[in-house]
Amino acid sequence: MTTAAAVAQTVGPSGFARRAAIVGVGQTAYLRRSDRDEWDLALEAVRNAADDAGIRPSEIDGIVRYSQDRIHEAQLAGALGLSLRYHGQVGFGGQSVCAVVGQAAAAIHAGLARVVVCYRALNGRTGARYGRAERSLEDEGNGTYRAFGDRVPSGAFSAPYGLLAPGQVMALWARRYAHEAGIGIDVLSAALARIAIDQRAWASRNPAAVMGGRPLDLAAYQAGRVLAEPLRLHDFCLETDGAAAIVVCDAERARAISRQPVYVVGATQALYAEAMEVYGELINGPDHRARARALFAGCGGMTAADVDVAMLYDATTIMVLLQLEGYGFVPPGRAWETVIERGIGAEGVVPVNTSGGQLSEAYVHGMNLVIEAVRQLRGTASSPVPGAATALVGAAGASSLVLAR
Amino acid sequence: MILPEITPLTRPYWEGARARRLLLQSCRRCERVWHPPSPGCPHCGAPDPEWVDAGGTGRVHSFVVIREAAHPAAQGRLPVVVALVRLAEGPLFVCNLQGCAPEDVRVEMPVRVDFESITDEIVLPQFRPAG
Repeated sequence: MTTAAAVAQTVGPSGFARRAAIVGVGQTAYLRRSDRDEWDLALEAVRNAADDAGIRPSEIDGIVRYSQDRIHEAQLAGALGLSLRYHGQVGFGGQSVCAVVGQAAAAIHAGLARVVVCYRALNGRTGARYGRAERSLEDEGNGTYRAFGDRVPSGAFSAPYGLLAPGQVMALWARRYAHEAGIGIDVLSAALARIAIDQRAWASRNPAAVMGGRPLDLAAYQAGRVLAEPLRLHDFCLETDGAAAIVVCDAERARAISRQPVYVVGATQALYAEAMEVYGELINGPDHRARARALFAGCGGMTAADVDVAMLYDATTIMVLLQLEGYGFVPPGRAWETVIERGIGAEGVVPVNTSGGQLSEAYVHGMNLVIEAVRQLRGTASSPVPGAATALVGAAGASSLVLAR
Repeated sequence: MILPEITPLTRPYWEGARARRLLLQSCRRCERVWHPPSPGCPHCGAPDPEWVDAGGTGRVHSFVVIREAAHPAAQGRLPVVVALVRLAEGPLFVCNLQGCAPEDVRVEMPVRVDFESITDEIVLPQFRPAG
């Protein structure tokens, strides 16, 4: 057993069974430079989500947020005039996006709140840049920096070796995946290129996407500079200034106020000491696959084949490839082949990241992926998947969400 | 230059490295070993681990060739091969692969431990091709 597996904990598969629903989604413009405070961005996204839900912000009585968000509950409640009954935080960043939503649904189910907002606001390009380890090292002067703790990357046992950014860890995953799948790096790169190109194609139809007007072809992908071999520029997500928010409420109220409530059918939360880590199994491993099967089984006995559209957390292209196996869309070791043959567009084994995802729409720590899943189920996405009734949002198995209309 | 914070928990590890020993923690109950240090056994939860010497051999589980610094502090060491080594004892270990050109590194390549002095206080356990 790996260290990570030993500390794994699971909350779901849930018995949410449509007891809570997402009734509002909201976002700011997604930009390279917002010139606004993250606080202001958070408020705009929450107001937009409330508008979309057809409620006044003052009706919000609960908040669940990422612990990493710099805008805390009191800032939001104070500036929106909220009277809160419940607030909670979920740790570990983007890998917990689905747990943020799951805990909102759980709070509603438990009667702790009736209308819960979840948000993520960050100046991810002009503020602290996650891709550049700007949060983690302490500058001691004279060119000396200190690394703390056991986190990978950037902790005391990895940063001194130059392993500093999540994408560099994912390059380790990519190389190991190619080895285990028995393919060369050239074949792996062909699959990763297809993911980057297909998500860019989805983004070209999404007016909100940062990369909407910039098509990507194979030559451009291959011309991208190598940042962490074998990963190139276009294998990496964007860095974005912006915010996204959703409003969750109980199903009864959802049906009263919304023509298109999107129900939380299942949610899981795990703790692979870090899902972005290197010490545990790859996110297509047996433990991840077993958890995914249990999640789906707990949602009325479904399987991956019942998912109509999938949002798979995409800090890098390799995460998408691994999750296609981890969530059971293709057998382990085969996603590279499926992706090269069919891509991840409308012809894929499942359409993936149909807004362009975090590679090409925006990087909002996964909250934009939740919003896209809601839009697909409402039929209002920029590239609607015909008849989409069930959506998966997957964050590397560390948290997962099954939504249905 | 990026230096590790040394804490009461990790001091024996870094003192071992300074003496050119690669130390791992070992569980007094289930006898399994792990890295990086933790005050409790990640396998069975037992407290009070002991320190043991690793044999210093392993295989390259994966590696990344970093060609662009993610932080100004890492600028001076590029390109750098960061390897994830599967130690013979089982744990995975992050290090640099030294004495080997990036294009010659292979997954599953056998490697052995070496030590790189960074400052008077800090010695980093590193790995290089075995034999």
